[in-house]
This record gives sequence, C-alpha cells and structure tokens, in this order.
Amino acid sequence: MVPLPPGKSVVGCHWVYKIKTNSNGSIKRYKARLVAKGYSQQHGMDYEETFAPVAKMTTICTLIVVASIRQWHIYQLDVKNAFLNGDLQEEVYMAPPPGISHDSGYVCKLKKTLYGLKQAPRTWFEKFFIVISSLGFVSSSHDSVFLLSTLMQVVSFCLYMLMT
Amino acid sequence: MIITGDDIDGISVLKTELARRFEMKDLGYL
Repeated sequence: MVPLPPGKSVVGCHWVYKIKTNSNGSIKRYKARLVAKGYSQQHGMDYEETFAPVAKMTTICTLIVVASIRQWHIYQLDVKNAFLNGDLQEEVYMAPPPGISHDSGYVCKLKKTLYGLKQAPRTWFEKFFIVISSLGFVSSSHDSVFLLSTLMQVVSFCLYMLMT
Repeated sequence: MIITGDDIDGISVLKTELARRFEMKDLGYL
C-alpha cells in the first residue's frame, strides 16, 4: 500500500464469486477471484504491449496425430491461476479491494499481474517462456507456443489457454 | 498445456520442474 503518486491513474477492481458444481449439480467449491478493471487502463500510460501467443488449432491437431501414430502418451497439465504468475514491468496502481481497510489516499502498487489487466496474458507468457527456455525448450518457427526440447530425445508440447 | 514424446523420464523431469516453479494441476492422459 502506497500513497498515490501525483499524475498516476488508479485501476479499479472487484471480486468475482463463482460456485463450482460437480457434474451432478452438487456444490464443489466457492471460488473468489479478485479482478482488475483493465478496461480503464490507458495505452502508453498503464500498459504497452498486450499481444500474447496462443497455440494454433492445427498445431494441437498435428501434435495429437503424430503422438497417436507413434503411440506416445499425451499428458495434459494446467497451471493454476496462470496469470497471477506474471511479473509486472509497468507501474500499476489499483484501488484497494472492497472489504480491505486502508488509509484514505492509499492504493495498492501491483507487483504481479491480476486477471483483467491488459498486460496479464503477455506478462504470463514472458514468465513462462523464461522458465521453459531455462529447461532447454525452444519455440517452433511455425508456432511460438509449440515448444521443442533441445535436451531430451523427442519431447514437445504446446500451450493453450482455457478460461473457465 | 499438452506434452508428448518418447522420453518418458524426460517428461517426468519436465513435470517436476514445472511444478517447482508454478502451481500445477496434473490432468493425466489426454
């Protein structure tokens, strides 16, 4: 929590509540996620680049075909709360979340991205790419999220987004 | 993400390394 520096804008936020149910309709869990109101962010002020790559459907199909012909297992993994991993480069100030007591004039200076911020997908991919590169993976020239291992025999994988 | 290949040990190392850095959910075989 910091006092808002002069000339900086504040992005709002709100809580999104969702009830996750099992397939039979019974309640599985109550989910709460704090999201930033990224629509009030201004280009050049609060964010710069926003492009983030997502796997092409043809890449995924091809990978599945090759894997099935060669009788490889296909493993599916998910990164929980992926966008929260991104390290924010820009200075972004956010109004304190509803329900959090705070001194007047104070705002949250964000260190990590939140869902809703314009730069969240890009920042997440940057972070992921640093990690995966350090593990010896390189992007395919046809699809930057189709990653091939340079160390292992034949391991490849691709990344795609699934928002629920 | 989906992962495939013939290096089963390599894939398991990859999964361990990813889990060290991110909170992962293993959804098993596709």
